[in-house]
Amino acid sequence: MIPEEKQNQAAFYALGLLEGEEARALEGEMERDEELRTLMREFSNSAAQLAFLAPAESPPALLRHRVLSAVAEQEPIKSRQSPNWLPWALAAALALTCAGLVWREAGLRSARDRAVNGRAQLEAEHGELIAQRARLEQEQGGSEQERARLQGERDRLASDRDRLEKERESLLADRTRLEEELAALRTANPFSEADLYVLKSASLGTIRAKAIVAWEPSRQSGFIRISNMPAANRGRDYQLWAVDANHKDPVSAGVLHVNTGGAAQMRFKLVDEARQVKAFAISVEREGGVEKKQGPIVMLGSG
Amino acid sequence: MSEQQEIDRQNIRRVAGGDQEAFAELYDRLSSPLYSLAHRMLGDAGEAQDALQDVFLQIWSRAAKYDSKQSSVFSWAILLTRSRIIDRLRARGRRLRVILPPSDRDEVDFSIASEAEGVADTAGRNEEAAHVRSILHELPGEQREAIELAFFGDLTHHEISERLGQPLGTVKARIRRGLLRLRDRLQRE
Repeated sequence: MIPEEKQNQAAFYALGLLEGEEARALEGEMERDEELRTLMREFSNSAAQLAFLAPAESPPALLRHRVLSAVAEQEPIKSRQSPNWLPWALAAALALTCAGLVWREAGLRSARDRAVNGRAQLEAEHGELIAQRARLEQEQGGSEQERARLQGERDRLASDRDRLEKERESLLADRTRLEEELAALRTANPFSEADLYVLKSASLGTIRAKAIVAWEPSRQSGFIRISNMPAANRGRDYQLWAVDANHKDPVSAGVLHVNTGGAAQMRFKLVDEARQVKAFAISVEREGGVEKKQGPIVMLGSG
Repeated sequence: MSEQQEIDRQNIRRVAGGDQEAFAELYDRLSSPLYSLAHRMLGDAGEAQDALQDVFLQIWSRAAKYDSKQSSVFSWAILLTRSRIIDRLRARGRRLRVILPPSDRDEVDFSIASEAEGVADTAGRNEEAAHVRSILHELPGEQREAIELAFFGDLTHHEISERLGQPLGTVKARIRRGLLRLRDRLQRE
């Protein structure tokens, strides 16, 4: 006899009112309890009769056509009963499976052979790659040595360049210095190629006076500088003369104008060519000078 | 097993084998009670037709799963239809339209409704339906009311208890006794 509470649950279950854990628990009991299972079947069949409580209606005729058409369009249902040809079909399927397995085994063997060959090829390529890598590393080492050598060479060249640059700068400085020294020398002795004549006073009145004459025979020109020379008397001028071996009389070099400080300097040319000048002399002449020496010589000097 | 139940069982076997003619016979046999149930629960003729089409397509595809030891073909189809309708109702978040709100429930005169349905059945061609309906109407009012709410309402037992204003234990007992009485009456026929 099924307890009332269990019958209540079965009734609820038949009406779909039992859910979740409660429903699963009852289903478990039904599997074990045939009496409960029978009650449940009776309740379900009874509950189904409740549908007749709904007002009787018939669906539209079109719905019948719709449903039957939908079923006809569906794929035909295969019977759940095993047909007579099923064993033969199973045998054929088994044979096909065996054939497939044989074919697959052959395919696997072939694939294995291909894999072995492929592996050998890969190993060979691997060895080649290792050798190539070693070669590249060696070349790389040589390249590094060469690069180091070139770097050293470049450094050396750079050092040489710096040194040469310094030397050039030094040479330029030397040149500048030498040019300056040359210029200074030329300034100090513009007549380095000239013959120098120091003129001395020929009388007591001009004893402190000094005069130097630089004469360049090649250019037939000269330069005279006088200091401490007393001014010439009124109506008189000092006049410079060159004593040349080829001339009987002194050759005039021009009139000297001594400033108030007793100094005078001038470039001069002779009025006539003189190739063998022996001495220079200064005389006192009438103002403006004369062509031929007339007055007394106050200073005289030989080369 | 009645003659009609045996015919139903043979038809469902043929349907399981893909027999469209047997399926058409089964449709003619079941479509009216299933449609009535769908219309009653869904409250909409169009939705009821859609639901009925879904149910018959399921019958077509699941015929092989039918177990005659568990239930009759009719019961199997009714419960399948009810399950599909409840799925639709739950999916749409709706409740049974024909179930009146609690404030109006007391005004329902089930006896008058039953008499009207009886007239319809009398005029109808389904004598079996009329017979079963007469048996259902023999049930005590409180039992049939509880069973009807439970069957058509898609309500939980607590909701049924609230609607009926009765303790849950009382509701359970009414439903159990109603089903037992129904079973006994149907088995005697």
